[in-house]
Parts: sequence; structure tokens; C-alpha cells
Amino acid sequence: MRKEKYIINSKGSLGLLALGDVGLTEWRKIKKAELDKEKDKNEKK
Amino acid sequence: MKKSKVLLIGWDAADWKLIGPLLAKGQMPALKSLIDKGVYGNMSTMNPPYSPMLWSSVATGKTPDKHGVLGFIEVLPDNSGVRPVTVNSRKSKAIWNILHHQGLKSNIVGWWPSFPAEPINGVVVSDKFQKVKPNPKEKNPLIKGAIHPESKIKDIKDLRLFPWEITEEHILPIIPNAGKIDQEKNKGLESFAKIMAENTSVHAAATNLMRTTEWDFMAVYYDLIDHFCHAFMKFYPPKLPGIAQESFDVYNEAVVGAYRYQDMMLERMIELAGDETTIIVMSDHGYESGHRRILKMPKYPAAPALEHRQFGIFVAAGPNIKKNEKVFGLGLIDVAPTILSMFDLPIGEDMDGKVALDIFKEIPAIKYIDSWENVQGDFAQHKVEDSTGLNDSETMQQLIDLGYIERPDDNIEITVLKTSCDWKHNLARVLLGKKDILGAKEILLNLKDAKYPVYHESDFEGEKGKFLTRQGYNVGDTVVNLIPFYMDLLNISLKENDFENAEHFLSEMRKLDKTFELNTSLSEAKIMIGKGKYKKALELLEESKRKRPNAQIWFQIGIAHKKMLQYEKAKDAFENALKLEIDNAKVHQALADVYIQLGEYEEAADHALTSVELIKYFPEAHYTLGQALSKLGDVENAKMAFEMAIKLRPKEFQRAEMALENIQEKLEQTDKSDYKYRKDQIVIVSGMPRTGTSLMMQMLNKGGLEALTDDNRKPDDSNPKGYFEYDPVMSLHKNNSWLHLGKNKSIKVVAPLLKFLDPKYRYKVVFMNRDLTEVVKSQQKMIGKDPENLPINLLESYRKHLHQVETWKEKEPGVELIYLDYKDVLNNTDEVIEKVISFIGQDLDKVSMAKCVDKTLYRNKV
Repeated sequence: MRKEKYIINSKGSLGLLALGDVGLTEWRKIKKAELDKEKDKNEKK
Repeated sequence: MKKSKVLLIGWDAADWKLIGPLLAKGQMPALKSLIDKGVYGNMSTMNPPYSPMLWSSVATGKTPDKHGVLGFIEVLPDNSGVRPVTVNSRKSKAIWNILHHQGLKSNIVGWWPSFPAEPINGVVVSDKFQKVKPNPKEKNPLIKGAIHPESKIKDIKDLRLFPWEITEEHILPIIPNAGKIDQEKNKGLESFAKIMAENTSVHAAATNLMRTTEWDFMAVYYDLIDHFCHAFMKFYPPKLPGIAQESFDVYNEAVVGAYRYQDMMLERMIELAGDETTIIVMSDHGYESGHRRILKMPKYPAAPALEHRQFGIFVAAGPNIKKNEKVFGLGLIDVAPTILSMFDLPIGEDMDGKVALDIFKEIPAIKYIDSWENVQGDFAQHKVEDSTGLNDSETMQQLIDLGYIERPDDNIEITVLKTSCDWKHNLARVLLGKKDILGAKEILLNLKDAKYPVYHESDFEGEKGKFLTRQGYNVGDTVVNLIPFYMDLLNISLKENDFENAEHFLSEMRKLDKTFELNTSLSEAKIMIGKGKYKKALELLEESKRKRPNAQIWFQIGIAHKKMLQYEKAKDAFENALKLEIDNAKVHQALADVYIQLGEYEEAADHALTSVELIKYFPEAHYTLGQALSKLGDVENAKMAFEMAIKLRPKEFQRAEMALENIQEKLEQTDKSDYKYRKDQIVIVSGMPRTGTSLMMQMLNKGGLEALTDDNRKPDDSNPKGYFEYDPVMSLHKNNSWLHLGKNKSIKVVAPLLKFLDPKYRYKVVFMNRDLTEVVKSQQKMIGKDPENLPINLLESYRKHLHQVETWKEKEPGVELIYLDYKDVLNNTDEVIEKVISFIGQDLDKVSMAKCVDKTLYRNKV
């Protein structure tokens, strides 16, 4: 199995989508984490 | 030994024309890797090229008349409405049903149609899984039946990507100028997001199953390329005249982008499948990307499918697949039998396809059973019909957006009526493709003659009125568009050489819609060609060519010239057709035939071979190949070509059968004599008038060969011993059904009518020659004109006819011909008689024959 490192940001990429379920799931995790962070920031304000 | 695993990947509408340049530029590396270690070739589609019908043929190995999926939408079992086509319409077992019965595991993802998911051993993620509502505020629960088994829903349900999740990172690599789009006015990005989301969902589900389940067979279907083509192919370079520069600049890379994304997904599939898996990537049809793109679609159901090209793609790689070889003649119906053979399972005799043996390194032992449909047991097919109605509005809307179906009428009865007519019409077109002309005609005539409701003024109010107007309907029109039925009936009449009916259908069609000008000109030209009015046909075709040239027009121009024996002009026309459509098998075959007439046999063989490589199921092309090879002296291969022609033709193919017989005689060389008696042969005595044909008829008759004559024309001064004519011969060009009466007899037929002899019989033609000047003088005298005044035109016309006889003889394998000179009959009578008897292959009374010769009747010498 190929082992490559991907830098994932909240905007995602075609490469991630092409990886299938794994890419989609990991991207959504990052998106959610960023969103949660943003929420936290706003709540602290 | 490792267990066989097969991964079948469907790329709807993928086309080598687009893929070729991308492979060359290294922009589809995953597909390239499969080609390098596997086989590749064209995949021939079927008519009508509608995807649910085609993918069901892929899954079953059967044509749609057998598997039952006959359109994009189906009528509910209780006639209460319509819905997008479901697996319930499929009456035949798919590969995965058979594998289930054999205890093998399959995963099916996105197959069209596969809803409601069948309860197979494995997982089905049906074609309803990826369809979601476009509004993010609306909920998108998975509908019942979308996934089997239900225990898998929890793993897969969150793998749907929603259109509103698409970001600039997904858009810009495919549409770099997307920032310039005014999204209020231009909805291109909405289509983009929907198509990307749906296909990514399918891919995510497929990769999940590949990673997390044990499977023997897996089939995954993507509509990414097809839907991108429908949305954006009009912007693909070169820019079409009707396309705004601004739109072209924004969307011109979209289709290529879709291919590249599809390849990226393939890379992941190859990685997950592993080396032990046989991978097949295929499409159901291609897509027009050049001059045949249509900006203004005709207004009839599924018109966008007019842009579907005849050839899709096929690539296969795996442990027992040949390496880097091109394979030929594949059809959609061959896929299921080929996959069954990979699992060492028998092929149903009732399957229309065959195992693609050419793709294998080691050919598997092929086993057969009568039909999988007769095998009892658990095949995981649905038992209860589901009556779910129009609630699948997303799929319906997508089919409407793609132009595949009309917006359903408010009146549900009309919607059901239209759907059921489309269904029947599609069945007729399938039967036409299977050469069941009678079956197709019966359905089409019923459709044409049925009584339909008409649209009233009240229907043209409000939104519905606007929609009907856009669709081209007027007050008083029948709710079902009759034009497509007339078009098919017209084509059938042309095939049947029934030109009166063809003209009638054409005229009815023109009354119904005057916007079909170009198409009807082509049809009219075909009728003219059929009626022998070649000049008129050429006028019509030239006019059409001036408006918008296409391969079809050039092809018909070639046919007209060929009929006029203008072979050089025909060659030029066919070559022009190929410039516009290089992979048109019909044109290659016609060009091959012309090259044979021109005596250029190598070129003929080349084009005939290309033709059969493009479409294996093309008996005429195999026949032409046989003719060319025979001329080149390659008797063994010619024999194989003729055998293939006979095998592929559903009805008798007498020309090929006789050509094969001729070749076998050559190969066996059992009979050293040039000629032999052939069972039920018809002896034809021919020539121009006044060349001694009556004398030869008389000689044969006296010798013991009965003449087919009615004695209606009595002897006269010009022919004191009788004419031996038979009245029906004069109208041979209209009716040749009586020719069986001439079996083992002789018939007198003038040279210009020889070409109307039915090719199903064996003919021995004794062709009388005489100095043409003598012939014309004799005729002038016979009709009371000055024999010294020779009409030059007549002489030229006779020379042309003699040339035509030579061409006809070369073309017809059932014809053997000898030339006899009138002077030799008079002066070397015994020698001529020996020659005639040897040619006919029957004992005749030589003395009686010789007595017929009366030299005093030799007048008008030169």
C-alpha cells in the first residue's frame, strides 16, 4: 500500500477526493476541526 | 491458485478521441498503466444508445428486448404514474445474480439501474445513493432500498459528498476561469458541483467497499464524463460558431478536466484492487467532440443521445490478460459472457454476446447452458414489485436537465401514455438493430396509427404553455410526437427498397415538422438513389453539403457515384466522408468495394479489414474482405472471411455462400475442368440486341436444354427462326421473383438487365459478342433506318453496357460467364458448341445444335 503524506486544509483538493472514502473522511475531520476552532474563538470573544 | 477477482469500471461516454491526446501528454497515467499491461480497443454500442438500456446489456449479456430495460423512465406497475427506471424492469439475471447463485460475493456501486438494491451476497450501493437535494437546508435521508444490506448503511451513508461542499480547490483545476462566471446568470457551476459531488460519492462508497469487504466481483459505474459532456462539450475546442467567446474561455477545459479527475480516481481503484485482480474499464458509447456536436437539439425525447458516438472504450488488464495488444470487434453484450468465463461459469446460450477470447493469454474453457433464466434457486432477485412513484424528483429533474426525458405532463395519464410510447419505440429500435424488420415495423405502424389526445388552447396557458411552446408543440398537435416513428418507418422502407412508402413517410414527416430540412434532404436523396434517379440525388446532396457537410452526406454522394459506375468519384466521396468520420465502418466497407472495382485490391483489403476491426458484426464487410483477399490470391484468408460473413448474417447470405463454395473448389482442386454443372443452374443467353442471342437460344433448345419462353414474340424477317423471349424478362428490374422457373433451363436476357438477376441463384451466362458497328447497322436496318448512318451515342452506350457486364460478373460470385463471338458461331460452329457444352456442364445434342446455324442469315457485315 502506498504511503504518502498529504497536507490537508479545510478547502480540500481533487487529489483528496480521488483517494475515495479515506480522503473524504480525513478532509471532513480537518474542516470540522477548523470550524470548531473558529466557533471556540467566537465564543471566547 | 489464487481466486479470480474481477473489477468492472464503467465510464459512461468515455471516448478514445478525447483520451488519445491525454494519454500522449501523460495526463491519464492510470489508464495508461492499464493499457501498457493489458489490452485495449473500441467498444461498439447498440441502438438506441441510451445508458440504462446499455448498462443493463453489459450486466446481462443480452439485448434490451430480452432484459426488458427500455428507457430512462418506466411506467409504474399499476399505471398510476412514472418513475426513473429501476431494477424491477430488468427481467434477466445480471452477472451478480449468477455469481450470488454460485456462492460468490459481489459489490455493485452506482450501476444504472440498480435501485432497489438486490439482496445479493455482497453489497449493493444503488444508483439512488448519490442523488441528493441541491438545497443545503433540506434533509437527505437515504431512501429505503438504496443500500443492501442495511447493516452497511452506517458505514456508507456519510460517504456522500454534497454539492455545497465543493470548493474552489475542486473547481479551479477543471475550470481555471471560474472566477469570471456570473453565477446569477450562468448556472454552469451548479451543474459542475452536482456532477462532481455525485461521482465522488460513488467513488467514496466503492473505495470503502474495496478496502473493507471481501469480494470476488465488483462493478462501479460513473456518469462523470457523460454528464460533463452533456453540460460542457459544446465549449470544447475548436470553438463552435454559435458559442460566445466568453463562455468558451471559461468552460473549454471542463471536459478534459473530467477525464483527468476520472483517471485520478482510477489510480486509487488500481491501487486498492491489487495485482491479482482483473480490471476492466469500459464505456457504453463515445461522445461527439468535433463537427457533429449539436447546439440546437431536435425536440424529441432523448435527442441529446444523438451526440453519443458509436464507439466507446474497452481496456482490460490482469493476470490472464494479454499485454499491450489492441483487440477488435467488441460489443457491450460480450462483457457479461466474458466475465462469466473468467469465473469458469457457463455462458447462457440465450445471451446475445460471446466471450471475447482475444483478450486472454490462456483461453479459458468455455462452457454453455441453455439459459441461466431456467436455472432454479436463489439468484437474489426481487420478488415483489415496488410501486414507488414520482417521489424521486432529483433523478427525474436530472434526466430532464440532461434532455433525456420531457418534463412530465401535469396530466398523469398523458405522462404514462408518452412513457409507454417511448418504451415501445425503443423496443422497435432494438429490433431494428437485430434486423427484425417485421417486428419493428409492426410496433412503429401501431404507434403511428394509434389515436392520441391533442393539445388544446387551454394547454398553452401559463408555465405549461411556455414549456409546450419551447418543446415545439402547437394547438392541435398530438401529445405524442409522431415524427420519430415516421423517421424509423422511412428508414425501414429504404432498407426494404419500398420507395413509394418511403416517399409517403417523408411527405407525412414534412407535414408534421418543417424544421427537419437537412435530415429530410438526405432521406429524399436516399429515395432518389433507390429509384435510380442519381442526378436528382446528387443535386439534393450537393445542396445539403453546401449547408453543412457531414460524413453521411459524403457517404450518400459516394453511393450515388458508385451506382453510376463512376468509381473514381465514388472513391473521392468516401474518402471525404472518412476525413470527417475516420471510424465509420460502413464508409470503409463501401470504399473497399470501390477499390475492388478499380482493381486496387490491397487498398480494398485494408479498408475492409478496418471496417471489420471497427464492427465485428458486419457481414457485408467480411464479404468484401473475402473478395479483396481472393483477388490478392490469399485464398485461405478469403475463405475465413466468407465463412465469417455467412456466420454473422441472420438470414441467408447467398453471395457469401457461393463465394465460399468457389474458394473451396479452388482449394480442393478436385475438378480440374474450368466449369462444372451446378445444381439448379440457370443458363442465361445475353448480349446486345442483334448479336446472335436468338440463334444461341435456338441451338441450346435443339441441343436439349429447355428454353423458358412464352413464344409471344413471333418469328419475322429479322429473326425467321424465332426470338425465344419471355415477357417477364422485360420487367426484370421491377420483379425478379419468377426466376426460379428458369432453374435448369435457358433464358434470354438483354445485357442491361443482367444486373437485376437475383444473386441467390447460380447462373451460367453465355454472352454473345459481335462487332458493335455490325450490331448497330443490323438494328438500324431492323427499325427501318439507314444502316450506313451510325448513331455515335448508341455505340457509346453499348460500350458502356459491355463494361457494366464485366463489372457485374466480377462482383457476383454466383455468376460464371463466357463470351462467344457471333462470327465464330457461324464459322467455327463445332468448336463453339464444344465450348458451350463444357461451360454448361450438361450433355447436349451437338448435331442438332450445329444444324441451327444458317450462314445466309449473316447480314450487315463490316
